[in-house]
Amino acid sequence: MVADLCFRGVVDGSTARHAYRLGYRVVASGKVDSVRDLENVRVVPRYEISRDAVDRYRSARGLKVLVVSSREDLKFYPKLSGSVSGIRIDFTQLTGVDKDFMRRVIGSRIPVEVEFAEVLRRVLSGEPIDYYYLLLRLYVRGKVEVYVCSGASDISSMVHPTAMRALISVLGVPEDLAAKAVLKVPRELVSGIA
Amino acid sequence: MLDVLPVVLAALVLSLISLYLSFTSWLRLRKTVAVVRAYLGARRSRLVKPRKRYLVFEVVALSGELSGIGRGQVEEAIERSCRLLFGFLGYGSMRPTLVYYDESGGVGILGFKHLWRNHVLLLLSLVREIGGAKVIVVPVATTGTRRKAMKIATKSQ
Repeated sequence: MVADLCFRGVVDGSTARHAYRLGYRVVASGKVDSVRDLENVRVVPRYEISRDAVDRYRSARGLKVLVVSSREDLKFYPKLSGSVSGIRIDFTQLTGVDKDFMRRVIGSRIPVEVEFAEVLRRVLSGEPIDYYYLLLRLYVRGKVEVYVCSGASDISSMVHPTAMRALISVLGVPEDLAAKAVLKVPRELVSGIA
Repeated sequence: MLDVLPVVLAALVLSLISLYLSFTSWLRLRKTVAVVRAYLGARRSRLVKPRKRYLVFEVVALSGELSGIGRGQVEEAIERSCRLLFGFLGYGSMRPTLVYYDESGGVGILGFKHLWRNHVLLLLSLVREIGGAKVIVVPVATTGTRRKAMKIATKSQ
């Protein structure tokens, strides 16, 4: 079961058919509020939450992604375990990624999200991707868990899972770990929801 | 018997603790060994003979007509995507070659060297427009021989 944990657009019939054609069986979208089946694709809600809203979403059924835009968002990180499914680091807003911050990310033991569309956008616009390299290096060394999602906003920006795997392989991740980040980790994250 | 019981219990607890400690150290050591092996493996450079691979792909039209897309346009789109992502040097090294393209079915075969497989898969995902039509390129299969790729391509049509 292949899952895309970050679809930013509206999931309708044609989107679901297209996702099915690309091989996805589960799509997490921020535009739905309940689990539903559409054209053989299970659509689950995706909530991007701030640190203050973690308690509010504790009982919500769906993929809960903590958006980290400052190091304070990872304060008391042991409490986050079980409350959020993944972490999305907003490197544009984050000032200074240092050892202390990475220690919190590693210590939280929560999978970190890598968005295909965002990485590709940075590569094509000449922006640095050093932090992504850092994350992937930690992933290869077994310090953090990483999962890759498309970050697509419509049908035309959806990508085949092999393209996502290819991207992180090109960035230096071994093939088996790249496959794990695209296939296994997302599947485990949605297994309790879908 | 009851005099010996506390000693036995203490011995049992100690042995369980030592078992736990030895197990966790073994796990840590295993990770370290894997990291060292990976590092040594990466440093040892091997000259690998490039082997030919053939990727069967399908062009799916999201808007516009698939029949309006010609072989030359597909070739141009792939070359443009390759140069955009990997530059002239990357394109020169990779040399992705459109071996076959069926204009009616939108199925094609791209030849490349096996060392660049992931790069080819990535550049295909960048192809979003061909000949004015919005498309998406779906990789179907990768094979080592052209004959098998043709078989898969004809089956996909």
